[in-house]
Amino acid sequence: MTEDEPDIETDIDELQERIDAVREEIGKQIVGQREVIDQLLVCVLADGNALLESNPGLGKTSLVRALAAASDLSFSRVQNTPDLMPSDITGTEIIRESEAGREFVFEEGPIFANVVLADEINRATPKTQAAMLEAMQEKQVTAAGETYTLPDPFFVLATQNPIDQEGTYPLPEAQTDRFLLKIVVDYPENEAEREIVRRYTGDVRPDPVERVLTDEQIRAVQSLVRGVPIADDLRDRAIDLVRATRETDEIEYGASPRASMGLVRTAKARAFLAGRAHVSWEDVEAMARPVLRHRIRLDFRAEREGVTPDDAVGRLLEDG
Amino acid sequence: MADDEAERGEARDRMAAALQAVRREGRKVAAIYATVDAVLLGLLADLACATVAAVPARVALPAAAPIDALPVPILAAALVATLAFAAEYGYRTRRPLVEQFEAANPAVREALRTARDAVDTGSDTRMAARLYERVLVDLRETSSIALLDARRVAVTVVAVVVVSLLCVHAALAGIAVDVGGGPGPATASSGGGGGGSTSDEYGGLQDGSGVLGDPTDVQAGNDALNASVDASGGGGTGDDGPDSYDASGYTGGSDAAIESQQAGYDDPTGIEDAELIREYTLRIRSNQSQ
Repeated sequence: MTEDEPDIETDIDELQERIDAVREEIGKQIVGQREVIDQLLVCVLADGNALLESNPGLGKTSLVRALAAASDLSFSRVQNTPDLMPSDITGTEIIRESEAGREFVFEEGPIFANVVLADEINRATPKTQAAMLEAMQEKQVTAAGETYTLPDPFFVLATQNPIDQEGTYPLPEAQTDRFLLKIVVDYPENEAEREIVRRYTGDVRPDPVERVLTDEQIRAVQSLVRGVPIADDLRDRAIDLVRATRETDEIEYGASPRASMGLVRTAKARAFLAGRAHVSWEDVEAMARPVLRHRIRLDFRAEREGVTPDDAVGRLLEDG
Repeated sequence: MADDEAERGEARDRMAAALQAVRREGRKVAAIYATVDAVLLGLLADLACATVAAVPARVALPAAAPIDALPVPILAAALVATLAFAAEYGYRTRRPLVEQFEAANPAVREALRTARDAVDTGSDTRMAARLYERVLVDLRETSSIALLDARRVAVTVVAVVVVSLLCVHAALAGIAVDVGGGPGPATASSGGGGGGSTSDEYGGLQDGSGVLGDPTDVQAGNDALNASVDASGGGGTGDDGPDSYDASGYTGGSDAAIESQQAGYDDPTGIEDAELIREYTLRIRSNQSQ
């Protein structure tokens, strides 16, 4: 057993059943959106952070809350606004009086949680965004010369609204690159929307989400996901796909090698989620858009023609 | 924990052994294809050499060889078959054998390829061990028969049988095809001859009586003749002419001049009794020698 593997004897089948149970528990709160739920779970299994983009009112916050509730993870929410300071997120030192006298103690900010929901992250100032993203990347924060390690596992699930751009600070490419996935939450289907209304407007409240996964089990699963084998040719094709984003005419700026790593990691996580012990090309294809869509910038001619990042990635997949 | 590691190592070893078995099956299939194709090509070469008139029947071997010559068709067949086998076997085993097996068994394609790469890199994570176990189970349900295109092999075997029969027929009937190297047009000849310009179709054994004709009696032969030969020296008198024979001893049994007789045929196609002809001939020669 390697150092990364947890010191517990866990059965892989049982863990996969637990993950399925999490999916079912989230389904108690979120109607439809199966693909979004799966992508969110992939992000958790791959130990990454996700950027959720959707119009308001599509249940992003509920989704993240349900995920935290189904697992043994602490949850905090940060509503980003232009006046939000970095210390409001990371924490700050305060003077506390005790029997021994006054002393400076570090008051942990909301970022000290396993699951952090950063609502409307593009409304925070770049300075605050940078503080959060740095914590997200390093999994630690530094305040008054002291370094504090964030809880493990640690996920930042940030949301942003694509239509209301006034007074926002769009995340620069270097920042968005740190999100493993960009999950687009679309409007629900007709039947799903009827079910949402029925479920949340009646006298009977939806079933509460039960806790079915511990943080220890999540770490065990993350370790297993890293060990999912991938065939050499599949890995090469995934890398070639990312490299192709730097060469096609439709894309002005392509994805970084971090995207290559992210694509392989998420493909492994998706394979695990599907109950497989190996990565399939289907996994790579399914994860290509969420991994790449926020890491590429389209050429202005392609934008003028109405091409979206998903379209561009889709064409690369077809060509590959 | 140590048991877990040992178990995973064992799974990897079993997977490695299974991959070796898959490669072995691939080599077997390649050998089957190469063999049937080589036999077919060898037989075709044999047939071509046996029927083409321009090809010599035998080729001489160097003096050091234990035998003097080898039949060209057999030599050509062996050469072509060996080359064909080597070329096809090499071609078929050039592509990775595991990938050929994957192509024939798409159900295990990705898992098997991943397991192969994982074994090659020595991966023994728990997920890799799980993959090995699953692939080993899947491999039990697959078959290397899928590697073999039975229809193609069957067609080739049928072709081998047909060409074999043609070879046998050509050897027995002595069919020879002149492909332009011979002196005359392409013909079929008895005895495996080389395409002569005369038409000598074989008509079967002929009746000897038909050839010799019916035996007939001859009138001559009853008289005893005395012949004398001039015993003078070889030089002679110098006047021995063509008619000196009569004047030099032969007097005959009657007054009439004896005319020399020779055995002959009573008609262009028939001949006299063979014994009589033989006797006359001997007597004439005896007279001549005297």
